Amino acid sequence: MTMKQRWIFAIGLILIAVGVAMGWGAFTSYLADRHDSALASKPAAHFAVSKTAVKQAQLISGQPVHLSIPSQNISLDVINGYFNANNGTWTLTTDKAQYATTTALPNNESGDTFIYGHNRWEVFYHLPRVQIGDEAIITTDNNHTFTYKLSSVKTTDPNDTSLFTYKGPPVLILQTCTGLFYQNRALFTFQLVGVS
Amino acid sequence: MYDGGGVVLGASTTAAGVLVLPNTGGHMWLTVVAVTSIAVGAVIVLSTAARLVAKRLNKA
Repeated sequence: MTMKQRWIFAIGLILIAVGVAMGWGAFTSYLADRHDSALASKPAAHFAVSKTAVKQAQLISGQPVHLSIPSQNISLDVINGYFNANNGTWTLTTDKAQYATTTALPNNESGDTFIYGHNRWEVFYHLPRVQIGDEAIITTDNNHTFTYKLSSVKTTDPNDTSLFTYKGPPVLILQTCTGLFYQNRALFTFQLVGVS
Repeated sequence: MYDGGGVVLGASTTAAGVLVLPNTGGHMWLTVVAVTSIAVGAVIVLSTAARLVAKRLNKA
């Protein structure tokens, strides 16, 4: 091998290394997609509900201001996220989770609370690693704490809007994008297990 | 704040028909650059290796 060939070979190796380093997030996201599929193939889990608060005579509800998922060391402020019907986009920040104002507030009666966030280190990069049964805790502006447990995971496409018409028991749905080019939407559904 | 079915809603509601799920992806351009970089690098490495092997076979 001549010196010139060695240089070309080295450049090729460097390009591969740089590509792997730059695409690490997307590649792990792609693998997480496969992980989601594995989780989704399991039946949805159902958890015992705390007697203390979930179905009380009194409605407990509040504006979500903080989200934590202890198992993944996720601790994020939550702000309102708004849909712009003119251009079909949602407001999105790079360091906070957004509560979709078109969905139910965290409450102990019914409806889904939908919170979404970027697939970035600062936000939901580690979300796809959650396991069935992991807890998510929402704190509201009136100091209520809603505790949920992950019951199912679903990867879908951006046009799947079924969650916006959900009318069942109270659940929390978290979303981040997955796929090599972030073309999929991973939805993590948590069942309400307690309110304090 | 509440719809007809008693579901607690947030500040505003929008007709479900026009909604899409939020685009919460990471850096798309980074992925494109990464995939291109790996592809070009792989072509260079493989073609260089193939040329080397062919040269050695010719010598033998």
